[in-house]
Amino acid sequence: MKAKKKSKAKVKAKAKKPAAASTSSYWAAVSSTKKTTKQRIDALSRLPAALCEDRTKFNEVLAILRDTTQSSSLRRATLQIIQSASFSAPNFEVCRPDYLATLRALVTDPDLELRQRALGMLAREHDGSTQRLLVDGLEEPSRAVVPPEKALQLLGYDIHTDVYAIARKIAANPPNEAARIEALRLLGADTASVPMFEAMLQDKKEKVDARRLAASALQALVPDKLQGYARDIVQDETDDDDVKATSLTALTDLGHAGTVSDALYQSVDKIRSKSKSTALKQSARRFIDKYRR
Amino acid sequence: MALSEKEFEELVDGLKASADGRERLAGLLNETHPVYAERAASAIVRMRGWILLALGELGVSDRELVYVLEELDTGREPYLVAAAARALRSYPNLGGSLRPHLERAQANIRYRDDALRLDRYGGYADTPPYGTAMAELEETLRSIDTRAESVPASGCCCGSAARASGSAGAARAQPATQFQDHRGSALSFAEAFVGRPSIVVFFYTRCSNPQKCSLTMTKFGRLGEQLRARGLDSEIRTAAITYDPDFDDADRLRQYAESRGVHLDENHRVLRPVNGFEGLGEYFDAGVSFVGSIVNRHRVELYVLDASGRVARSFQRVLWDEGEVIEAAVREIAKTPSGPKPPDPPAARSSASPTTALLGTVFSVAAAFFPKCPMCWAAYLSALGVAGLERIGYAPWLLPLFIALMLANLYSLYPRDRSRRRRVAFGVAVAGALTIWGPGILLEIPFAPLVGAMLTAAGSFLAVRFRLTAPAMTAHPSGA
Repeated sequence: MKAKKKSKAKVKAKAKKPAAASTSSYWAAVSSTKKTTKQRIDALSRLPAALCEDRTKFNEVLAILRDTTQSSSLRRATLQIIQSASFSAPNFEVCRPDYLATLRALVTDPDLELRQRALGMLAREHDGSTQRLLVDGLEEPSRAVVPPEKALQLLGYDIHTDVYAIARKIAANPPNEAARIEALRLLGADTASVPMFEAMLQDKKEKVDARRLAASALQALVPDKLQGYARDIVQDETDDDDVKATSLTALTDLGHAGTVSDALYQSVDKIRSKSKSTALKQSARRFIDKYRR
Repeated sequence: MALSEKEFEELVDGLKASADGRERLAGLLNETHPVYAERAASAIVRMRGWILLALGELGVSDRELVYVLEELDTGREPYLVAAAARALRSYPNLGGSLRPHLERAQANIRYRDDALRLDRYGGYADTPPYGTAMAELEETLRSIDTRAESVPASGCCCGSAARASGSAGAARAQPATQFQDHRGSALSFAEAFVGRPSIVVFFYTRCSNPQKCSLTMTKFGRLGEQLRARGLDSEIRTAAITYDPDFDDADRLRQYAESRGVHLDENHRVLRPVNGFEGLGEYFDAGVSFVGSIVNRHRVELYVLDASGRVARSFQRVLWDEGEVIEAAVREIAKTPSGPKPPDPPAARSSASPTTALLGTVFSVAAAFFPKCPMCWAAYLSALGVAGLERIGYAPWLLPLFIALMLANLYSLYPRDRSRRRRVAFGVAVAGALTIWGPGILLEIPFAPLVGAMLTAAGSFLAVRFRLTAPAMTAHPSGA
């Protein structure tokens, strides 16, 4: 039994850290153009723990990323593996500047997926040059490196950007519906956009997705006001089921018993027994469970 | 936006050659400078980094040192921290006292470092060769070591020179700002800050730099603890004011503060200006800039106000020391002219003073044992051995008087805050009064008046005790 445990532990140890000899063979395989893409990716995937131990070798891996003649699958896999390694900040400390510089080189890469992923990683770091590139693309679409909805999504990682005015313009006059939704999502951090979201939530002709986004934004920006709108929506028999369900969730999760009138309670009880929408019925049930009288 | 970043870069380059360049560059580092309005935070990083590098070329003097140390202490952007580290090497009194700032910067930036080109405006690099913030910090630390070896101790005054603390400025009219506190109560500037010295900090809950707002509020919590430990919490008020009042509602403010160990009550508040933020900013000369409704840059700042609400001392940019701040506020207590203090806000008013509680107890006991007929009156006095019996008449009107006073006692004990202990004291006193009134006076059950009187006395005693020990209790909310 003991022997079995020991051998299991050995296997585990081997899996965690490859022996020095095998590490060097993996490194060799990663750089070898004679190996197939699959073999190179396989070798690379065994190295994350050792990836930043040797800065020269790490730069060889980064060179694969920068090299547009390498296969897309190898480059994408390489980026994914380096990203995994970067999560261990203390082990990755020395390599981080080289990694970020390489990501910056990829933001204009011909491979759209690689480009978007690099932009995403830099945007999460609130990288100034990336933000400027994305804003430039929104202002002048011919210079855009990604579609406007993607640019807006990435800019939304940092609330301290100067993109709100552009987002408001896009929300009012969007190139497509996805861009409009992303613009609204981004504006959800902007207190100056509260009147716009209030009007949107109350407008029954507005698209359901936009109204639900408006509800989320108001929840973050003016939670007390949203509770009032949510009560009105729930009691309005002509309003949309999805918007009602969102409103009920807000009332259940973030409201309090003092604001639940008898009329509201009865409306929700009626929804629970008579609504045809399963999601709405479920929301009503949660509400009744919380405020049961 | 009047100036493009390219134009700003050229402006800074031009100032390097100008006779008063250093002074004007330092002026550009003020957060309220219009050049920062409506810019992205990342653009401000590029701009300020370029100014610091320019100052480094001209040579940083004592006056600009605080801007350099501010970035080292609280900076999270590698470009700015690297620029500050490089600029510091030009400071003539570079010495060991600056080492802690560099070490703090190393800790802040270690896992956030980046590839930098400090020879370029906003120089984040995408191709080698490049430097890093950590390399710049290490080089500056080496410079300190080298100078320490080559130059004998210079009696560096860097630490004190760098402290951006100021004393009272010109008197300004109080702003017409209206606040809402963490409980949702409304109050004016005068209600918040006039009557006692105050300590004021600024912050906002959406701040993404943990070395600024989050740390400020944690230190603010520790400052409050020290005030309570020294018994100064009723003499000195504290307030943390948000830069982002549209977003930071009362609930958010309370949660943010309490999660950082800030004890809140009627003298120690978190405030959101519901109107008149501009006037408030001007009054304090607050170092903050905005893009739309969102803060894009701010400094660390703390103010000590005198009892008239005037700024007596300020601590800016470099993280303040709690003890030093308290000493500054204590000096303001000493300067406060003695006289009646303004009344506390209603919630803060005491619900039972020792005197009223004692009198109330006496009256309750008197009501309990008051003789209910002329014969009882005579018996009482005889039992007590009073001479001249015929000269003291029976006075039944005293009974309703004692009952009225007993009710007044209960009113004085009524808890006007949410203190559980005061409610308990009130409950005990009510039980005593009911025992005196029902079983004692109406039913005339023996010993009921005695039990009632004891309960009333216990209730009054507890109320007084809780009032006297309240500050000590709040000093250690955890019970530690």
